Amino acid sequence: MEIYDNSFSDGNVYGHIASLFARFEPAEGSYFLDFGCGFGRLAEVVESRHGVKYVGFDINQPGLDSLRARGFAAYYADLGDVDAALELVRSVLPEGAAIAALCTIDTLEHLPDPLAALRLYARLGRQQSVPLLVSVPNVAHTDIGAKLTVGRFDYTEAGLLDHTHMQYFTSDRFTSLMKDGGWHEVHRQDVSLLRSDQHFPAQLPVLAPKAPLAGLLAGLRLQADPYGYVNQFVRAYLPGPETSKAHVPFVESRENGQSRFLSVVIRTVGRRIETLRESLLCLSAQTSQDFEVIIAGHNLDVERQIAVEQLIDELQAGVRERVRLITIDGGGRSAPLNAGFMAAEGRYVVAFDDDDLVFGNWVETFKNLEEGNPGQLLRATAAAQDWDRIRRGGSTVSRSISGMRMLYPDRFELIAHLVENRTPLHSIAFPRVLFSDLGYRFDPGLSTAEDWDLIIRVAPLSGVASSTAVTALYRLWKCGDNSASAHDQFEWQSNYFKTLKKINATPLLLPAGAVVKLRQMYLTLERLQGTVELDVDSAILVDQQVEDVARLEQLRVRYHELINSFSWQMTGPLRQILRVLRRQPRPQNPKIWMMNEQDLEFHIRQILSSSSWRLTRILRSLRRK
Amino acid sequence: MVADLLPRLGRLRVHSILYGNEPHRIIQAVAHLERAAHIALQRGVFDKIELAYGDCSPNDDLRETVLAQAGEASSLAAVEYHFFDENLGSAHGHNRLLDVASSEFVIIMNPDIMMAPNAIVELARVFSDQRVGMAEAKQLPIEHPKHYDPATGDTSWAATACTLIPREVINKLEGFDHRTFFLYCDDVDFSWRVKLAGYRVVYCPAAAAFHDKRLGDGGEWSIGWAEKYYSAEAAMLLAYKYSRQDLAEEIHAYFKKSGDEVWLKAADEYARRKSAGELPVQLDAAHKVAVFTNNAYANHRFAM
Repeated sequence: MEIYDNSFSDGNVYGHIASLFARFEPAEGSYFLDFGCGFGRLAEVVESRHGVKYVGFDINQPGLDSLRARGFAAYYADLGDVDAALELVRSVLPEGAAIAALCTIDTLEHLPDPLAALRLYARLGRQQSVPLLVSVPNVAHTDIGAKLTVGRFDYTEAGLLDHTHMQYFTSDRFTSLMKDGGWHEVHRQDVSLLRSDQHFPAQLPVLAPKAPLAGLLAGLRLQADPYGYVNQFVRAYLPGPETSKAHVPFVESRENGQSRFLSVVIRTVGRRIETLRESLLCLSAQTSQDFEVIIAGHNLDVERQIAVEQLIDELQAGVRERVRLITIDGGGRSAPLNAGFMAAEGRYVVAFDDDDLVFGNWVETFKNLEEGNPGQLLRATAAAQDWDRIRRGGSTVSRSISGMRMLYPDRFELIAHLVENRTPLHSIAFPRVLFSDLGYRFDPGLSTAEDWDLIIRVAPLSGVASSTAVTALYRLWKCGDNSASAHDQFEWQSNYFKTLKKINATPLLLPAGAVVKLRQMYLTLERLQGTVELDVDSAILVDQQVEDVARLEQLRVRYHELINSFSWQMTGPLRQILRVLRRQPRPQNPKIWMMNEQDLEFHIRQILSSSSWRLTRILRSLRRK
Repeated sequence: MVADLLPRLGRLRVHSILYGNEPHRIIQAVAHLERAAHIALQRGVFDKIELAYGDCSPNDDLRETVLAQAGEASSLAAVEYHFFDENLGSAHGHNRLLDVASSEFVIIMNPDIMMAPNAIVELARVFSDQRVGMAEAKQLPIEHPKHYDPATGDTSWAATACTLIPREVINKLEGFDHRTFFLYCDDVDFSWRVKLAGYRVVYCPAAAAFHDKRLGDGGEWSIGWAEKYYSAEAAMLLAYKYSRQDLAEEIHAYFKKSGDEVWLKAADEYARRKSAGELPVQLDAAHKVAVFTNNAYANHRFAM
């Protein structure tokens, strides 16, 4: 059996190509030209279903022989020599022959210059608007990505990583190539495979279906785009405009160095113009102006839209040119945030409500955090303050009615955030790639707590860099105008439950340091419940400090306690007698401040395992009682 | 649609005192002011707006920065720079600027204030009532906690971080009392004298002005030496000036016992002035305008 001789099935690439072909309602007697035809297992299907005439082109002689033996036209054609191939096609088609479709299945990836082949097809098809049916393998299948994380890239004789492939396609690169080749996509019917031919060895923790690591990677992959399980892209095109692109697509700029640091997305329904003006003032007064502002107007009627536009128009030119209004109709609280985040161009994005206030160093603090922690979520500290609104003349004004309250911790703690949100949304900035590249969104299904939901989904992936600087002020409205009062307790609980269910269903990445915290929390809980009783000496082993400095200090304190303990002091004469009897020299007390971790552990263990310490155990237990 | 009736107030000068400020923040402050001035001119509230800086810094390094803010396309008819060559303090610095030129109205402003675009218009709005002697902007993000009448805006005193004052009132009161107050409470004193002269002091919450104040880690207020010293000194002098010598002495005694170096220094200065006969002439013997409550000069809505 030849490696490229695959039989027809409605569920495989041939079947999907045949299905796409049928959509164009081909005319009987017209020609179906199959470039890179191989064994041409489509030939029988297209001729019998549509009455078209199949013609195959390839350099693979056994395939051509097979087609001819089955009574089909088949020609040797090298797509690397475009002019000769064009000449050949024209010579085999009768004068004025109608072409039903051009087809190229799993061929472009074998060519050094697939653009040239696409342009050849375009020259054949443009005049009659002939469709082109294409299939190429997906190099970004979940299996390939997962294996790359453990250093494997396994060429095979055929399949996703056929050893003769010269091009590798993701959906984006394939789309770019087809556009550059002068083709406009009209249909797609990709072939998906949960487990591709690259799913080996199946025991790898990045592949094994029930392995947490595989689950985490697959979840991430599926979040990024819809093609994680696509084995082959199968798509139909019509001739589009000619292009002058000189080379196959590649990433021309690794990083957009000119991009702004921050995009500030302000969500507004246009009802709080006076506080929106105050919010904009806080932004225009920032010490760092390296940001753009996207005002995401949600369900604005004409009057409110004009009011927001007038507010933007009020701004000084240097700020106004960095402010954009986008309008969003429909959807819940997440809709304007998602639209704003997708419109953002900064390296980071932060959400801002139209009543939020920030201090002058809000952007600057985020930016400083980015310098040492690129790619992490950036979190500064927020203070809370009670406010209300009063009527004054014909307008409404806001008024603070309490002192600053530090309700939110000054460091991000993931485990604490699993319990509830402790980070006001305008005090945390997200890397934009989470939205533009990894497909994360505020959950449109949540009517509240959409901020918490997003934070705890992305914080484990990117990590969070925290600053203790207070840069944001969260206004707690005591006049009923807030999300807490707009939604009842049941709704809040229901949304929290939805989020919990979501994160509970997937593996969770914990940051370094989490093990010690979890261990300490567990032990503390057990002690509170009275299920364990630990003495000081076992505690020093159980409650170990992992950080070097803290661990050293803990050991020093314990050693000091031991040598100055009543038990140790009391048994001193006994040890002295034993030394004399054994003719051992009088030992010098070690210098605690000069000892390293190993020395301290050695000396502590010496004391704990000494006969004099064992002898006084009863005394110590009596003292405890 | 109801017509927005605004007063027409003539010419405006904006005065601000520098002391070693960061040039880029001055530029930013002027840009905010220029926009607010543009809108005020457009709305016809003022017909000419000028900006004048007085510089108390040890050198005139900021001259170029300030003068570069003037331009033909600007809504500010002039941007002036006056180098004082000595640290006069805010009250004296403002008085010197007030001597330079005249206008119907003056805004006294801190150099780190960034006005909202509508701030000048909203400050001017209350001068439809000719009894108003001071109109104060709302500072953000930390709003001052002093009480004001929600309906009228009337309040105990107005901070000159950003306050609009008619020239006529300033002339009548002969400016700020710079002989008594160096940096702090010159505005409280001025406000109370405005009230004694029969004018209203009004807080304008619709006129927002960003004042770059920060909270320390943990949300604590952190104040520098100058603020601590001069506000301590001013506390005693203000109490004395408004016929609360008992309170002045009480504060003085408290500072003397505090063991705090800064407060001790302030207490000594008060004692020196007292023995040298340099304390101010006492006012408000009937305690009509001055408010001393909970270490503040107004009833507060809350404690910070």
